[in-house]
Amino acid sequence: MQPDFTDIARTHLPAAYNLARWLVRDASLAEDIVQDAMLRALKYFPSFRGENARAWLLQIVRNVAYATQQQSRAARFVDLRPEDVEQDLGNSEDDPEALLAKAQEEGYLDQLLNGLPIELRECMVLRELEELSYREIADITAVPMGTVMSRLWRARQLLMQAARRDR
Amino acid sequence: MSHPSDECSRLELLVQADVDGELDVTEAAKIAAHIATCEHCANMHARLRNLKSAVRTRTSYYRPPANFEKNLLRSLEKHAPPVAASKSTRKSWWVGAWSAIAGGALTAMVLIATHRPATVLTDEIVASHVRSLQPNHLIDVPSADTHTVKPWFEGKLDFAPPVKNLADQGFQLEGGRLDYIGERSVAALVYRDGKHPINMFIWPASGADSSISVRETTHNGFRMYHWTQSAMEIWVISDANDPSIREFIQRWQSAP
Repeated sequence: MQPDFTDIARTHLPAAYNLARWLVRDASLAEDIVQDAMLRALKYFPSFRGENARAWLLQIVRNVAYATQQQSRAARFVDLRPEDVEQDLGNSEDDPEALLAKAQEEGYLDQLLNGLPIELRECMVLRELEELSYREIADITAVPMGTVMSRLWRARQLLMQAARRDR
Repeated sequence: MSHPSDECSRLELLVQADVDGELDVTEAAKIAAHIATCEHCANMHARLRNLKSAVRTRTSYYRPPANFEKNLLRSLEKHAPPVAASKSTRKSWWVGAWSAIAGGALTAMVLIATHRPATVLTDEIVASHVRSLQPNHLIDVPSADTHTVKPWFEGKLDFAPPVKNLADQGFQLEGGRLDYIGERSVAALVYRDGKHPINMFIWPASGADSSISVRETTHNGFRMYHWTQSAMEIWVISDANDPSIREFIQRWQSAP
């Protein structure tokens, strides 16, 4: 049986939508992006011969989302600033449990994640919500694996730092 | 209180990779040895682990609205070019075989394995998995209680499928449904690994081919696992990542 594109689309739609929604932080914009990405994917599908349909689709979703973001920047979110990370790295002697208490608050972690710069947010979503490997994330985001690792590191330091600040 | 050394900053991405389950045994042992003697890195390891579990359990996973899904699939079908199925299968096999030769023996084995006649069965399993992911198709009897799910199958099947509770090990039983695979009614159990449903298909084994060792097949981009246990054929399919599924299988196999 030749894999039917509609089956693939249906299977990976939740992942596609979740990624788009996190990248653009807007529900209706996310729908537009997924719609556009799926139609593109359908067009490219005859030349797709990989084994990892999910990674392939997410890559297309991601590219469409980035193109859209460049046209309109959502200004409603207070961004965490990556340049703040460096000076704080030595300060890791806190109680490891401290973050957990704050994270239990409804919506708190969503808000923090939404504050990350897009390339860090994207790595976190692909890693923790889609549970993809470093290799897959590197393929989807078109950067070397080392970059994925350092982005995840920066993202996590920022999140921990913000949680400490808000405690 | 210890202070981070140069070695610590050199190791920090590996500490993170350990928390992410990305290290091989040798590297993981190296990190474990360092953590045992370094309070700073032990602390960082614990904080990363806590953050990971907090993010996995306390952030939103956005689901596409049902209407959107329906309209999208309709518009995809409208745009889909008509294909002559047999012809395109043949072509994709050759293209696949060529890229496999270029890609190495391992890929070739997988490709050849997926194109044996057994594909009919794996086709049906993939199809059932895909169907189950549509809204309201996953479960006929929604329950985390094995004592509810097990009796539900009675009278619907001519065998009693083993239903195991793995909630303590992080794999929640969500329920079961009746499915039809290989020209017979089978039991489908649904477990969940975080955000990912795991479909498990069970029916009585027919042949002498009984092996608890797990065989893995990739078919149409889906990874499937198959083994025989207690005279039952068992298939597992999920889009959760490979290490998680293997852990699930290991725990399921050894559960009472």
